[in-house]
Amino acid sequence: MVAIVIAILMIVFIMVFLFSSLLGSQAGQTLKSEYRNLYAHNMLLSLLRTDTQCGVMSDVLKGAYFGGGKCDSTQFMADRLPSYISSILNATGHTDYDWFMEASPKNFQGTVLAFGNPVVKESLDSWDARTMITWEGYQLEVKIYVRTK
Amino acid sequence: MISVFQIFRALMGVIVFIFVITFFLRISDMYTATQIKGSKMEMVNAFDYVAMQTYTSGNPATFPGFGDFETLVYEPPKIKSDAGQHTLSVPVFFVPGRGEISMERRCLDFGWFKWCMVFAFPAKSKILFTPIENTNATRDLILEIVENLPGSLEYGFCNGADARTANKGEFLSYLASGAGVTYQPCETQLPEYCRLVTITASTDSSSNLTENHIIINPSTRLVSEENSSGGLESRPYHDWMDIAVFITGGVKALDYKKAVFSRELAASAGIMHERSVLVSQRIKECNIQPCLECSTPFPTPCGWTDYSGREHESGIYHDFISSLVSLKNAISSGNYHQLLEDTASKYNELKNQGCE
Amino acid sequence: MKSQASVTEYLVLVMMIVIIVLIAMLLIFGFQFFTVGSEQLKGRERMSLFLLESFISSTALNNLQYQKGSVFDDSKLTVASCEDLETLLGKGWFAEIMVLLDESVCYDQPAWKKNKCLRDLRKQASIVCTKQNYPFCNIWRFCEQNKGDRMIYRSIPVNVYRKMNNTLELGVITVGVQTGG
Repeated sequence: MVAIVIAILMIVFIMVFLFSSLLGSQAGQTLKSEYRNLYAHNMLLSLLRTDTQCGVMSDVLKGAYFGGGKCDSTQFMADRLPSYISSILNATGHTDYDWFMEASPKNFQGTVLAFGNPVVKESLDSWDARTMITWEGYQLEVKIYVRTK
Repeated sequence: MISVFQIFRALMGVIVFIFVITFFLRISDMYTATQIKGSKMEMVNAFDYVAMQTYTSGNPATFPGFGDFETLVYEPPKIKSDAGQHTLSVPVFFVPGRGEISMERRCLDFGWFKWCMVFAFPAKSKILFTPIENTNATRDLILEIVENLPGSLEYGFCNGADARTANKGEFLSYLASGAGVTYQPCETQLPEYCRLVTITASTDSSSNLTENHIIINPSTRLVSEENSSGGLESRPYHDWMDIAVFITGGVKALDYKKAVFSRELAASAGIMHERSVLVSQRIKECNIQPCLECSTPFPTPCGWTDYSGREHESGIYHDFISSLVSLKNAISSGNYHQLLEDTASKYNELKNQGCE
Repeated sequence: MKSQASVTEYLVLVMMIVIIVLIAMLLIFGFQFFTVGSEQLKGRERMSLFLLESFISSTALNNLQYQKGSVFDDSKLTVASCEDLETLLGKGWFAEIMVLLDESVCYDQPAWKKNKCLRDLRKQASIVCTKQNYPFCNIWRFCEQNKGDRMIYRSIPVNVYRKMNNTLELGVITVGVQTGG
């Protein structure tokens, strides 16, 4: 009888403890997702505004999609974009992040330009940021997806 | 026959039972009190966090409310309650109250310097105006105040015993129509979360002061409220924000706003001054030695000056730097507002000339 | 003998109950301390996020041409001091802003120039800015804390506007908040 009572008491305490820990960890998730959203948003915004040898990155992306630009925009994006993102991830201590970026037409028919690991986009635990680039009335939606490897 | 061992077992059982029950009762009592206090502090922390987010993002927010606090007062920058006190992390002008609290950010923008704060009002708040001398200047003042206050409040007029409110849009439309009504001092009982603002150049109105009632005197540029000994406590105002802050929290709130504003203005002016001297010095070097890593994007009117303050070529940077020096020197005296406007216009010139 | 054994057994059982009740007491108090500790940590994490957002929107440090923020002006960063920023943003933090230099500019160079290019670039990358070496520097540090202080660090990408040649470079801001532990 005593043993049963003791066993029940211990089970109750352990359950209360675990439940409270779970509640505590839920609150932490909100802050984590705010940080991740800020990270992805700033990564996209900063990349697109950066001046490169080929011009402003958003202009290079426009050139890769619509043609034109100071140099071979498609080749530049394919070669340099991964190294820019890699240097960001290294400098921010997030070498555990994987990424995928795509530029797709918003108000017209066209192909989708994609860079990085496409699996990231389909992943349930990825987070993303998006922005719009406009050129002569055409709107290109640029999205970046990030997840932990 | 009951054995000694059975008696002993019974007694031990009772003693252990009393011990366990006493222990659990004490623990649950202590735990409940701590938890209630903890959850109240958590609410205050959550309020602080929503204020921080509103401050940095500029997006309006709603805080669900403070629930059952026995006491809750705001003495900027601290919230004092029965759960303890907490210093808010950003400048907030807060009217305590039950129910939902609306939060909106408002800023004063001088081009090179921007100062923001968060207004936090209970969602049911009202502001009533009684413009005794109903002139165009008074209506312009009311327009400026209401345009910059949150849209979640109701605004209206109080004329003697008649008090009516409307939402911000309707109120502003009515104000713009310029209806020429003569106003009597407000005599109506103010509802909860209502502030009365009497605008008059007459000093006689002070006798009508009650709680939640302030007076604006546009001719002396003073805002006043009743102090604890029944007299009048006044402060000068310089812009719509001073009046709006006074409406929320009176003398203490306005004193706090002025202290934080001038402290942050001094720090920002220091950075801007040093930076302008540095940039104008480098412009000079660019002009002399174009092989340095700068593409001389600066038009000639920008000018430059060196660290000892010697002017080598007059220009807009020099004018801007001089205005910043005058401002920095005047901040501690409190008479800097005209100089601040001056720096704003000089900075605008810098931008227009392509120097920024 | 048998009754002595029963008494002993009973006493042992009673002692076990008392010990379990004491363990329960320790568990509850321990949990309280854990809750208070985790609340404090949550507060520090909120503060680190708030500081990041304050930095990227501060008119004192950002270039005002870019309304969306996150563009630091290198001339403002060079002259700002820890005291100035503590007045604007409070105390108990550390910040570092660093420009990410593009090493790929060296890859296009001929082999004999490439290594020198990389060496010069890496040397410049580690130069902390002062008024004297401006604009040939890449790192700005504010309110460096003691190495023993426990900190929560957060980093995000930003841009740095190079005032003297009117270009926007890619950079990173790292903010550290003391945990008070």
